[in-house]
Parts: sequence; structure tokens; C-alpha cells
Amino acid sequence: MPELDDIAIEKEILEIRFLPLVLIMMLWGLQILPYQPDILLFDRKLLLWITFLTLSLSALTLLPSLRQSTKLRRNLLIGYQAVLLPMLAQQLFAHEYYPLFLLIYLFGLSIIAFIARYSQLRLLGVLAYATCIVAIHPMIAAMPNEQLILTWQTALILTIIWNGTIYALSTKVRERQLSQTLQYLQTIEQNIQKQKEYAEKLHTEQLHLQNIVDNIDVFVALVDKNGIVIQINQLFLDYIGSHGVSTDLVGKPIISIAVNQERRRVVEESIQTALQGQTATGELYNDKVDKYLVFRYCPIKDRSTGEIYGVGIYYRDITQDHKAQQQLKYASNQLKAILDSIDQNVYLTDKHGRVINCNKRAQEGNLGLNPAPPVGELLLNNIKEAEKRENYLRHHKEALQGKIISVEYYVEPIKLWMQIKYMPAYDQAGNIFGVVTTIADISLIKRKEEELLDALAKNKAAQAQLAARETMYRQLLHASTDQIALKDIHSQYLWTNHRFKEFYGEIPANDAESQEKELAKDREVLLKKELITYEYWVRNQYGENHLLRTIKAPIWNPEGKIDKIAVFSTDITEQNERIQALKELIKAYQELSEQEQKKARELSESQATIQLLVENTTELIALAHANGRLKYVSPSAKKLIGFTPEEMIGHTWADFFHEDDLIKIQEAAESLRQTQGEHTLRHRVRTRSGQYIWLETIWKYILDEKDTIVAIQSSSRDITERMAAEQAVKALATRYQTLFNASYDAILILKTNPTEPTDLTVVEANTSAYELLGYSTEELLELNVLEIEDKISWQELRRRIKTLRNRREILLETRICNKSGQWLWVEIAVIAFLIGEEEYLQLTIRDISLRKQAEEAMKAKTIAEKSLEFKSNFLAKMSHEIRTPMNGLQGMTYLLLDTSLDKRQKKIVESIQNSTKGLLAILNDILDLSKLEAGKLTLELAPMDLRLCLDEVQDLFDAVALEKKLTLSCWVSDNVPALIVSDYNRLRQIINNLVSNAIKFTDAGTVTITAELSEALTEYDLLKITVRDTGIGIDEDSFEQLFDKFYQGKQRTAGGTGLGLAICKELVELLGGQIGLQSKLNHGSEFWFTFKAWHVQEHQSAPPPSTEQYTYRAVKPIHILFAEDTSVNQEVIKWMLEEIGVQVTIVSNGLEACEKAKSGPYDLILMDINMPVMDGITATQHIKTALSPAPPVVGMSANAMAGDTERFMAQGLDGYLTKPITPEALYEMLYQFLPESLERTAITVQENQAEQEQVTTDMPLMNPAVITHIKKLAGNHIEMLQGLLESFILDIKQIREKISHTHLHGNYTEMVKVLHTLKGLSGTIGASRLFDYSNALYGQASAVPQSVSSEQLEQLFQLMDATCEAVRSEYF
Amino acid sequence: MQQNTANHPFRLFVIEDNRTENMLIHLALSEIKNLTIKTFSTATQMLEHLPEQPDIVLVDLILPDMSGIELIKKIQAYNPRIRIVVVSAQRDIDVLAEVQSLGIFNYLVKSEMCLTYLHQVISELIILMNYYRSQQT
Repeated sequence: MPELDDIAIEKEILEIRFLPLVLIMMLWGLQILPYQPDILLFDRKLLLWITFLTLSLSALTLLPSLRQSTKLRRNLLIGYQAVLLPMLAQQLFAHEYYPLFLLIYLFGLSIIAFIARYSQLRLLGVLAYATCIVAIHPMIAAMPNEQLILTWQTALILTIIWNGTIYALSTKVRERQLSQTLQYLQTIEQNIQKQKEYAEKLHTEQLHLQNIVDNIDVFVALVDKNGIVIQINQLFLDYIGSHGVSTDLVGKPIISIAVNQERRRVVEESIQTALQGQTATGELYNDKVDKYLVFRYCPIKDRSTGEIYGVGIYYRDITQDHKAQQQLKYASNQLKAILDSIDQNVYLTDKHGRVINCNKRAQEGNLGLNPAPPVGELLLNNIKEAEKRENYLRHHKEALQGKIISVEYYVEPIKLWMQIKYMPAYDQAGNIFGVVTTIADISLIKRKEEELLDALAKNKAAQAQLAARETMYRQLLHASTDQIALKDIHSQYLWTNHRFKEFYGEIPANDAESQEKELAKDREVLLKKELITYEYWVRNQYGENHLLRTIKAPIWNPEGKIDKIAVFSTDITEQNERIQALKELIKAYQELSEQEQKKARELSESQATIQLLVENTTELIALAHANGRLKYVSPSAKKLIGFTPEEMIGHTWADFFHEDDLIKIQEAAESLRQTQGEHTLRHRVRTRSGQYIWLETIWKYILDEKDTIVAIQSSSRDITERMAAEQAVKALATRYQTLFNASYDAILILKTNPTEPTDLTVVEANTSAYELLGYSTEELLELNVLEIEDKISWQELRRRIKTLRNRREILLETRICNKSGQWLWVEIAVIAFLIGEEEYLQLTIRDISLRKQAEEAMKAKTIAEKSLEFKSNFLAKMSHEIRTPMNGLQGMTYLLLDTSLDKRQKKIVESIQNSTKGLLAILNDILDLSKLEAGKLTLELAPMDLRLCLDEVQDLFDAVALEKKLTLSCWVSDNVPALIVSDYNRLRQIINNLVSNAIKFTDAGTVTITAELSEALTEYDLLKITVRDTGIGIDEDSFEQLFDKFYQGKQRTAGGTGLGLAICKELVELLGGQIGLQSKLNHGSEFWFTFKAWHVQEHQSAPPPSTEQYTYRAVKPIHILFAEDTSVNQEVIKWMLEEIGVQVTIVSNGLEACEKAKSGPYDLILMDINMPVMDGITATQHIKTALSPAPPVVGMSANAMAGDTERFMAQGLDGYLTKPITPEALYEMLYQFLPESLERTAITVQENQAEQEQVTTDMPLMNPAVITHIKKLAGNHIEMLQGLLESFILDIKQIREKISHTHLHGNYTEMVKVLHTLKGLSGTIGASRLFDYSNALYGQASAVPQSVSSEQLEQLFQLMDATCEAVRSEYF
Repeated sequence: MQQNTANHPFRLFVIEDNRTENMLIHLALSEIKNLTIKTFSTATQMLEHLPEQPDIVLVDLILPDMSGIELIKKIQAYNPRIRIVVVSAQRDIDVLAEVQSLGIFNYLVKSEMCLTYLHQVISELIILMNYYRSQQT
């Protein structure tokens, strides 16, 4: 802040500086001007001095150092002038330059004044000025020149005025200056105040900022352009301090934080970058403290100027992040490595099945799979097969619900077992965000598993075997007659067998000596490590001495050490005795044998002659002792086998035999011993050269008179060549035989007889021939082939022979019969060939039965199909033809029965009705059968009650049985389930049929139906139903035919189609059972059948019995158009419809129907299908197209074949009725289409009964109270009362007529009205019983008019009569 | 109009096609004074005579030519002041409810006690009407 004084002083200085300069210039001017020569005398030296001093002073004041201090400058100037001016004045005075002196003097005074003016010594200045003037005055006065004095005085005055003016002026200026200064000062003060506040705010802010900066987890420092730290936060300092760098950083270069050269460079570069206005960032790792840092150097700009004045430095410790990231990276890499390394395809998909990630194998498409789709696409796209896609989706969904699903399947093309696993993938929060699907090749595991299982099984088997073997061994050891024991190496018994225990008791309790010996032997075994045998005497438990031959053997454990000793002892006491006895015997025998030998010797001598003979034969003759050792060998041996007799003698024949033939010796010996005769043997012997030759040897025993063998004689000859040939032939034959037998075709070799061409005997046959023909070898060889062939004509035979002669071969197809009587179709190839003179035939027979069967089946099938089609058509046509007239017949009889008929007429009509029903039943039978045959009949399986079914059958036949005086009983076994699943109607049909037959053929006795469980199986029970009768029975011969179609047997007399049993059979088979019978003529029959009764599932239940019937009544006007050409049918249907109050318009063909339909609205159209002019279907189609909305059209036809309904419906009909039409079916159909106009009421048997029961209540005919009341009311008006009563009776009479009339004509609507009148009337007059009954009847009639029976009406009429009677008696 | 009829006997219309019943009704109501009874065999006939200003109409629910409900509606439409008494053999609670909802005066079930009740009901009605008549004058 500039000092106020300084400003003033500056001005002073300007003046002071200026003044001397002016002065000096004046002086120099004086010097130069030619004023007075004296003046020029002015000491030049002095002048120069003065000039020099003045200039230097001025220069001095210009010095920068002095500029600072204005006061000093001023004082210097003043001081200089104070010295200079007096000097100058003195000089001037001395030189008598008075004017100049005066000038200087005044000038000096002015300076004094000037000084006084500005300095604070103002008063003092004025005084000094005055003093000076006074002081100088004498000098002036001393001046000679008066002019000068005048000048002086003038000058003085002028000076004073000037000074005064100047003073006054300066004071004014100063005042103004002061006020300005004051203002200025005030402004400054205000500014200062503001600045102070601002500063305070700034300070607070700075503190906040500092606080923030100190507390954020970022290291912050602020440096200036030179890198000197201006500010640094605590965290930074802490951090720096932590690795030993001085924390007193403010004011020091930031560079000092760098720990090494490299870091220093980074810092410098970063600062430079920041100073250029860019942000420098980077990362560094401090290994001293193991920290990762990220730094940022930002330029800091002046807000106003935009000049960069410093750099903000931010370091952030990212060690945690960095480490976490590193770990994550590492973990992810690891995971990836693991995933890639596992031998599975791993897919990670999100909730929608899009691939998030998958491992390398999956990407490559391992395991024969397609490479995984790229991330973000559906994994499903990889699966092609629909089934697998479905599976995948399902499993994926399940996995999303948190399940782990593992699926294994076998992939045929790559022969691998695959396992697919679906696992939910959880995020950190534990929510499922996707699914991990792995596909692994588990073939190896599977194989191992199988191997393991196999091994396990084997191991088990081995163990079992071992156990079994051990048991077996133990048993064997126990069973042994030897004493067997097992000892350990310390001679302790481990195990002994039964024999041992029998002998010694539990353990041997021998004397010391025996024990010692025993132990010694044990030791010997252990020492020798091999088995030893010895015999010694021991005492058994009974104290008897026995000689035992004992074998002791070491037992080695698997490690190769002996750990047990086995002891086997055989009791040889008896044997020993026997041997002793034998020895004696031998001795005796030896003596005997010597005698024998002597005899033999004699014998041999007698044979010497024979020997000579022998020696010359080519045959090898040999003689051996009974023990087999050769005693003599003929010399031909040398020729035959190369050995000389000498070489052979002493050996046995066996020594020379081929080892394969040794067994033959035994055979021979055995044979010889038994036959005592000769035995021929073919065998090989070894020759000297080591080869073998075949010999045929005849063996013979030479016996003595006691039949003891003395010697064995043999004669052999070489048959090697023959054998070779034989074997070659045999091999060939075997090969041929094999081929012969292996042939699939039967081959017969026949021998012909030239004289008798038909005499063909079999000489050879192969295995196939036996199999085909069924004859054994022997039987076949005796067979004449012609016997097995189907009868053929001579002509044919001759043709064959002729062909054979010409061509030597024939191929023929024929039928042959094998042994079991089965006829087979065969193809025979015959080739003739000659063996020697004889002619043979080779027959190759090929079984073509299957082919033939197939061919025939095809043929049969075609025929059957054709005939079935024909039959179906025929039946359809026939049933139609029959049904049409029958509709009329049935309807008419139905209506006829409602008219008033006398008894005889009624009976006739009823019998017509029955016949019609019967005819219809037959028709239905035929239709059923044709359906069955065509396979069109299907079962309707539902839960049902068999007992109910049987009850129904019984109910049905009870009346008939009663008529024939038969007892019909039914018995169901308890083991029949309450509910079964089967076809109720079909079962009833079968039972009905059987029962109907039984009743038909039984004249006296009983018919019994029984039902029982035949066989209980898991899925179903087989139930058996039997119908027994005591009727005429059936001949056993007819059993078979009984179930044939159209077989009637005895039925011809009893009526029926004969189809019943055939249908039953078919139905039973359809129900999965069998049908059969037992019967004897005149002893009754028993028909039975079985059927499958499936188990009832828990949720199934039997349907309610269908006893519900309905009655129908029109509640709104219904108008029906009815098209029918037959007038009878027109009438029938019309009546039926009118009965329930329906209005009918009749037309007689389709065209009329169309026209009528268009002319007026109809609620429904009944349309016969077969009509002249235009058929029903066409008419329907016309109506449907012409009218909108068209009324529903219900077709009617006699076509009752399966499929008809569907066919007609498809052609535009809304409903379809089969003729003959029953009222129920018709009404039900109407109800279906017009449910609002028609009222349907269910009536049940119980209801009817309940209503009927009401009648029986005991009640007075007339209510006496009412009568009294009426009488009272009438009072004296007798006429009135009488009129009333007469009127009542008349009414009743009329009502009665009306009721019977309406009922008769089926005019139920009217009947109901009349009943209503009756009810009201009887009520009012107090005819209690009549009211009650008519009320009930009215209720019934208004619900179901048809249900009112004639009996009920009869009762009503009786009641009416009775009431009239009562009324009469009451009042008259 | 009412003033004109101030003292004339009350008119009762009955639809009853059965002669005997007719006679019984006449008999039952013969005692009541100041009442004239007119009988019609069909509802249609009765409706034609409505201009004769009946005070009371006996209606059976089952009529030969129209339903009772229909008739009631027609009478009410003609003159809502005409008192309607339903006499019917109908005991169906639903029917009763429907008839009641039409605002008829009373309902009699045809039974043996019908005559007694009819007498009572009509007598009471006459008393009531007399009272109203006196009130108006």
C-alpha cells in the first residue's frame, strides 16, 4: 500500500530536481550571454562543479535503489540545495553580482518556503524565511545601487506574493487531496473488510476441502509449475511415511517421493504432460509395501485466465481391486483350464437356454456332437431330433427348478454310452440363473461297471463254489474210513473227522511212549517238509490195539510256510492179518506152480513142431505168458516190424502198441475173459524204424484143464495198406455223408426195380429226410416212396417215368404225407443215375408248405374278403329290405294294441308283436354276426356288476321258465368280485342266449346259472359262467358243429336261427375267454364259458342301473315336417308325434319336402333317406343350402350296418334314426334338438310304486264336515241341493267318459285337463277319497301322461262310482 | 264413478266351466248380502265383461283358454282396483310365490274346506270394501 506521504514527496522531488536544473541552465546562460564581462568572471570551475553535482544528484535520484525510498531522495535533494544555494549566493555576492545574488537569494528563500510548505515544519519555515530576509537585509542595504535595492524590494515582494499564492493554492489542493484520500481510504477499508470476509470464507472452504482431501482414500497432492508441493493430503503423507520418505513435503519438490530413478522419471514426465494441458495416468507397483497404485496427473488451471499454474496429483491404492481382479482372472483361467481339461462337453446356458459359456470340447463338438452354438444362441439349435429336443427342454426346465437330472442313453452310430447331466447354475445370491449341461462319454464307465459286475458275480460264484467245495471236502473227510486229523505245528489237534473220534474218543489219550513217537513223527514232517508214511500200533479208546498206517503230510500256507500237518491213518490191522494169511497161501501155491511149470515145459516141447510151421508164415505168430510177457515171437516179426524175435521176447505186446491203441488191449482182455474165445483187434505197432504199421491180430487164450490161462497166443498180419484205403474211403464217405446230412433239403436215394416201375425202395436218406418225413431210419428203408405221396394217377406216373427216361431228371410239385399224417407240400427234384447195373433215383425234397400255405392263405384271404364283402353288402341290403316293412308292422301293432280290441284280437295282435320282435332279434343276430366276422364289433369295457347282469337275465326268463314249469336259479360264488370291468351288454347277450337255449331244450327240471372265479391273474380274473339244464342233452358227436354258424341240430324243432351259439363263441373269444359244453343225450347239458374280468381301477365305479325311463311332453308348440313315402310309416310316426303334442306336416318325397320346408318355418324335419323323386340326402342338402338357418334334419332309414350313421351324418344330416323307429328313440332325438320345447321327465319304478301305494290309504268317501257345511248353506233350498247333487253325478259320468276316451286315444293333454277338473270338483264337494286319488293321478299324468295305466284308471272309475253312490245315499 | 256406485251391491265375477262347482260357489256365497255373482265359463268371456266394473274376481290358475297368471295380469292392467282372489288346486310353492308377487288379494287352495274358506274370505273382503266406501263418502 503506497504511503500517502510518498505521493507528496514524489511531487516535491520533481520540483526539487527541476529547480537546480533551471538554476544551472541560468548560470550557464549567464556565462554565455554577453551581459557584463564581469559576470563571465564567474568561476567556471565552480560552475562545472555545481553542474556536475546537480546532474549527479539528479542521476542519483534516478537510481533504482533510491526510488524505493522517496523520503531519502527528497532529503538528499534538500540537503544538496541547502549546501549549494548558500555557496552560490556567497559567490555571487563576493563577485558583486548582486542581481544574481539576489536571484539566488530569493531562490533559496523560495526553496526554504517550499520546504516549509511541504514539510511539517511549516511555521518554522516561515520563520526561517523571514529571518533570512531580515538577516540578509543589511547586506542588501549595503548594496550601492539604489536600483538594486528597489529591484530587491520588488523581487522580495513578488517572491512573497508568489509564495503566498503558491501556498494558498497548495493548501487548497492539499485539502482536496485529503478529502480524496479519505474517500479512497474508506473504499479501501470496505474492500479490506470484504476481502477479510471473503478470506474467512475461503479459509473455511479450504478447511473443508482440506478435510475432504485428507479423508478421501485417494492420495492428493498439488504442485506448482516447478513441481514444488503446494498442498498434500494426510493419506498421501501417511503412505509416503510408510515407506520412509520424509513427510515434510510442502514447499519441497514432489520428486522426492520417488523411490528410484525410474519412478522419478515417470513423475517428471507426468508433470510435464500435465503442464502441457493433458492428463497423465498410469499404474505402478510398490514392491516395498506390496501395493498397486494408479495415478493421475491433471493440469490445474487458473479459473479466470485458463493458465496452467500447477498440477494435481492423485494416487489411488488399487491393491485390493487389483488382487481381486488377479484372483478372479486366475480363478477364471483355472476354471477354464479345468473345464477344458475335463473329458466332457460342458455348456452353460441361461434361463432361456442361450449359451453363456461352454468349454473347449463343447466348442469343438466332441463326442460326435455339433460344435456348440456361439454365445447367446440357443443350445437347442444344436439338437435336431424332435424327441431329444423335447427331452432337452423338459430337463432344462426341471433343472431351472433346482433339480439335477442325469440321463443316460446309447448312441448307436458311434457306439457310445452318453450321460447328459442338467444342473442348475446358482449365482452368488443362491438364485438359479441358468443351467449347466454336461455331456460325457460314459462307455468306459459302463463297460467297467459291467466288468465289475461280472467280476463280482464271478467272485461270488467262486466263493460259493469254494464254500461248496469246502463243505464237500469236509463231508468227504468225515465220510472217509480213514482217520483224518489236522494238527498245527505244535502238534495240537485242530480238526478231526468222525472216524478219528470213533477211534480215539475226542483226542488220543495214549501213553507217553506213543505220544513221544507221535511228536517225533510230527517233527520229522516239519523237518523233512514232505510227507512221511509209517505203521505202528496204537490203542483205541476201548483199549484195543490196532495197527495203523499213517501218512503225515505238511500243509503249506500261501506264504510258503508249513502251518499245519495233515494226518491220515488207515486201520490196517485186518489187512495185516489177511496179508499174513495170503503169504502162507502163496507159499502153498508156489509149490503147486512148480509142478505146473513142469507140465508146461512138456507142452512147449510138443509145440515145437508147430513152431516150425509158424516160423515160415508171413504172419507174426507170438505166444505170451499169462502176464503178457512174450515168450515166443515168430521170425516173420523181423520182416513185418523190423524187430527180431529176440528183441521182442521178454517185453509185452503193450510195449510195441501205439499208445492210442493201448485201451484196445484192455477191451480185448475183457472180451477174451468173457468169451474165452478169439478176439480180433486192429491196432498199430511201432516198427524198429519208429513208424507205425497197422496189424490185424487175432488173440486167443490158451487154457489148461482148470480154465486157467496158461498163455496168450496171437497172430498178426499187416493191414496198413488196407487200413489206409479204408480210412481214405471212410473220410470221403464221412465228408459226403456230412454234406448229405447237412443238406437242408431232404434227400432220398431210391432203388428202382426195372420190372416194376412203382416199386421204389429207399436205400439211403439224410437227416433232413428223417426230420421231414418223421420216419426212423429203419422205417424209411422199408418204405415205398409211393406210399407217402398223395395219390397220383397212373397217367401222371407214366408221364413222370417217360420224362425221366428222356431227360434223366424231373422237377415236380406234389403233396406228401409224413408219418404223423401231416400233409406237406413239397418240391421234388428227381435225378436218375446208375450204380453198376442198377438204376437209382436221387430225390431232393424241399418243403414248400410254408410257401404253399402263404399262397393258399393269400388265395383264401382274397376269397374270404370278397365273400365277406359280398356278405356284408347282402346283409345290409337284406336288413334294409326287412326293416322297412317291419317298421310299419311294429308301429302298427304298437298302435293297434292301443285301440279297443277284444281279447281274441288282442292276443292275435300281441302274437304279431312277439313275432315281429323275434324277427327283429334274428335280424340283429345276423347283423351282429356279420359285424363280428368283419371285426367291426368292439367291446365297450366299463365297470359292471355281474350279479346285476345275472339278475336281469333271471328276471327276463323267470316268466318263461314259470310257464314251462321249470326252476330257474342263479348262484354266484363269493369269489366273484363285486365289480369287474367287462362289456355288460355282450355278457348279458351271451348269458341270455345260453339260458334261452337251456329253457328251450328243457321240458322239465331246472336251469341253473352259476358264476365263479376260474383263475385269478394279476391283470384280470378269469370268471366262469355255467348254465346247466336237465333237458334233452346233446349227442357228443355234435359238439364240434354246435358252435358252427347256421348249425341247428335239434333246434329246428325249437326255432331260432342257429346263430346264437356261433355268436356266443365269437363274443366269448372277443371277451378273452373260451366256451364249451358237457352233455349227454337225454341227460341234460352244461354250457360254460370263461371271460376276462379286468380289475376295477380305484376311481372307476359301476354306472347306475339304467332303469331310468323318460316321458316326453311338448310344452311349446312344435311343428315338424315329415317326409316319408310309405303311408303306413307316415301314419305310425305321425301318431307317435301327435301323442306328445307335436304338430306334423306330411310330405311323401324329397322334392315336396324341399318346397314345404321353404314355405314355412318348421322346428325340425324328419327325413326318410330312401324316397322316390328325390332322396332324403339330396333333399337335406337342398334345404341346408336354401335355408339359413335351416331346421335340424333327422334322417331315418332301415340301413343298420356299422358306418351307416357316420356316412349319413357326413352328408349333412343332423341326426339319424334306424328303422324300425321306437317312440323312445324318436322322442329322445326330438328332445336333443328341441330341449326347450319338449319336457322330459324321468320316471322310475319306485315313483310309480309310491304313487300307486297312495290309493290304499283308508279314508272316507265323503268328508262329513263338508257335507254338513253344504247342507247348512243350502238350508231350506232342497231343490238347490238336489240340483247340485244331480249335477255332480252327471259331471262325474261325463268326466269318466272323457278320461277313458282321451286315454284310449292317447290324447293325454285332454286327459290331464279332465283329471284336473275332476280333482277340483271332488275336492270342493268333499269327496275325499276321489279327490285324493285323482289328485295323485293328476300329478302323475301331468308329469308323464303315458304312465297312467288302464288299471289306475279302472281304480279311478270304481272310486268315482263309489263316490256317486255315496253322494246319492247321503242326500237322498 | 265410485260415488255412483256408492250403494250398489258388490259385483263378483267367477270363471268356472263346471256347473256343479258353480252351484257350490253360489251356495257358499249365498248368505253374503250386498253381493251379486256373475259366472263365466271362459276367461275370455269374463274379460269381455270387465266394463261392468266387477269388484272381485275369483280366478282359477288353470283355465280352459288361458293361464291364470295371464288373466290376473290382464285384469290388473284393466283396473288395478279390482280385488282378485285366486282359487286353485295348485299347491306348488313356486306358483304361490309368483301369484303373490302379482299383488292378488288372497289365495285359496281348492280342497274340501274350500267352501268354508271362500265364504270367510269373501265376507271379510266385503267388510273391508264397505269400510273403504264409507271412508270415501
